[in-house]
Amino acid sequence: MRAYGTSDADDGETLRPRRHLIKVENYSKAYDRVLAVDGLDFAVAPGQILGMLGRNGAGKTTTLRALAGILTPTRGGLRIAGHDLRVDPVSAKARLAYIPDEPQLFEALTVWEHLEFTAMTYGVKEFGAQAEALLRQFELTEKRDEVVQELSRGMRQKLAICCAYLHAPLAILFDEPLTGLDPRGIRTVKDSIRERAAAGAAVVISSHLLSLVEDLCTHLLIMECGERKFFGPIDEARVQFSGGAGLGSLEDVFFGATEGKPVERG
Amino acid sequence: MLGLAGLFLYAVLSRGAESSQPLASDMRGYAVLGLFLLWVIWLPAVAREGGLRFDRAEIDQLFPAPFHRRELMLYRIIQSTLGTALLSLVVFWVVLPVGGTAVAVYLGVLLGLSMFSLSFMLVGMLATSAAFALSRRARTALTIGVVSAFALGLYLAWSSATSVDGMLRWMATFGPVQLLSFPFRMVVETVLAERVFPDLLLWGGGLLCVDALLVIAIVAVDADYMERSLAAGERDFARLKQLRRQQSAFVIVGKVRGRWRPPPPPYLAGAGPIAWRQAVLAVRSELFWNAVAMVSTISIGFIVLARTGVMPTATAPGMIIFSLVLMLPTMLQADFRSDLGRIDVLKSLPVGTSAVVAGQLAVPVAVGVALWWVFAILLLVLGMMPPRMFWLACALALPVNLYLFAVENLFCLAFPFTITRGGVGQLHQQGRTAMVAIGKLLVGLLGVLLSAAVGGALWWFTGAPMLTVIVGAVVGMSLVAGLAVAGCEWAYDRLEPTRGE
Repeated sequence: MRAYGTSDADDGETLRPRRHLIKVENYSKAYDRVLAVDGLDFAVAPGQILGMLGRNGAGKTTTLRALAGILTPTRGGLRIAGHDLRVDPVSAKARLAYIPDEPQLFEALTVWEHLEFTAMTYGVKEFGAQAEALLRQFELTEKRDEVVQELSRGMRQKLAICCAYLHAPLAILFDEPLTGLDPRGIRTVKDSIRERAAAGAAVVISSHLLSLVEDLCTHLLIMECGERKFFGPIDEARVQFSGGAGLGSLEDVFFGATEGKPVERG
Repeated sequence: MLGLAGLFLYAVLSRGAESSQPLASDMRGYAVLGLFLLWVIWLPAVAREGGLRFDRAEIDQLFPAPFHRRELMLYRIIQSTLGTALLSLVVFWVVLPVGGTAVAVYLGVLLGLSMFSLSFMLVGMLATSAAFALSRRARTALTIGVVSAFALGLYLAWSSATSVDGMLRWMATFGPVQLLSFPFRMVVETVLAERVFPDLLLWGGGLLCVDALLVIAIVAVDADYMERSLAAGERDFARLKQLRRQQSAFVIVGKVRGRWRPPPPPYLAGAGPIAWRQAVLAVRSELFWNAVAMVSTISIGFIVLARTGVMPTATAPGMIIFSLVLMLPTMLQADFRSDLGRIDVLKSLPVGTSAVVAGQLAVPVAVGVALWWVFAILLLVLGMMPPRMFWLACALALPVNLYLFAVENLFCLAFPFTITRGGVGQLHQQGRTAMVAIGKLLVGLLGVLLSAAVGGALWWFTGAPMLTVIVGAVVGMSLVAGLAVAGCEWAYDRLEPTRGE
């Protein structure tokens, strides 16, 4: 796997121990008169995997899309690897990868050309070996020269992840990463997320699959109606929301946090 | 919309049963022929698009719902007719000065546009059915047959006349053309009706019957249309569904066969890779080549007509510019118009706004400039364009094409909800078409005024007329093109797809 901080987009910059690679401060987003996210704060350090939980409409995807530079914040600051998305969006995005729940691929390009386009856009000069390795890892080698409109939903998801990993991003944002994947694909993606975090990337995963979050994440952000209900290590959430011993499941934690009281267990 | 309706009522009340000067009979014949030829020219593009269109939400929500296919068809037809009724309010004002009474003009425009829309639906459905039902050879033979019949008609017209006027006169009186164009005569006569009875009732009633017959035919053909597509297999049906819900006509719907691609360009702040991706899309899109071929064929056609004396030589450059300015920008969509569904991807790339806009506009503008120069050189070599005009055309090629494509993209980015063709988009599409036309006109007028102002100032101070014209025109158009590109950047920055939680 390519070492972090050595992408050409980083101009030779190496991954120094930073306190936080993703930092969100007092972030708010309003659509007309509807406040989708209100005064959100959280941060993700290298190696951490943050799970975002919340009901539909809680503001998870809005937050991820703002971090990816797609939406402009109404208020607050968003930083990727120290670069403010408002002040220096290009530098921030060069260190970031965003994998949406429904990958938007370019229909006319082949699988390989997607990787080529990503390499060109992010300034990754020697991308061939890295791209081949990613295709092997995600079992797309045989599809290398196929146009993406021929791919299944799961393969499109895997290709989007390959493109995201190609430039060795310091911050990775996943929105429902397992959608459309078969069991083998699920395992591959989960392993890859662990590897990226172990190599020093900061990862954010938004998902309704509590088992995924429980399995992968080190930290938890629970949102409700655009507001933060909990942010911190996952063990701390267990202690706070599922009884004093901290032995409850993530389901207990989620309902405890969103419904305002610890769940009574028999 | 309410304003247009109000203006329409005002026109009806103020004009009452009065009408303008009746159109001379030969002009009526030309109007009928013009509508018929417009319909014929439009036909190949319409046939490719596959008839009825439903957007993604309609397919996902309405198709599994307990509705008969017939009900879905009628829903689509009624929706389309409502859109046509709104569009007719705009077209009404264009036709009113030469038409009969205000009511007759509106009814004629409404029923006429409906006839266009319904017949295109029917032809598209028949073409799609044929694409599934017929073998490749049979389809090729059918295409050759249709093209040969058209070419034969043109040859007969050509051989029997020595001028455009003569050709048109011959075509207007040629039996088969008269028969085929009879519904269009109904449109013209309804628009020109001066009395309710017999003119309006007779011609308008006939036109209404034609529209009703088209609706019946569409409903009848639909069962066959779906059955054939289903029988053709799951893969082809998926293609058909994609064709029906595609967000841009430029998205490739078939299997991509060609693998040639242009070489990667330099980075250019990120504009290079984006332009490269658009270039790959363009060279692999049949619609791209069709657009280039159609505009080139029409332009070469004007040159041939002028060289053979059928058309005055001086009009050929003007007609070529007309086709390059009006047709090419709407047909070449290798820019934001084909990428509205992927704005998230573009926005998350580490590329600045100016570079994204430059990369998105580069390919269609480059193709437009290349075609402009090719035809300018051709006209110069053939002695159909004076050198001064040649230099002016060459100098204006870039700013004019940049302006044209930037305005198309500006409207596309400013009103992104209109991307869905068919469905709710049917209404929006027609409104957008009118808005783009008005917008381009206004920006074009601004360009002319600026060009004239700069040219006038230079002439006043330097007294070098030709230089002033060229410099003034280029500077003026460049300013307007720059404004349009800045508008694109503003609209792209402002565009926030509001999907998600």
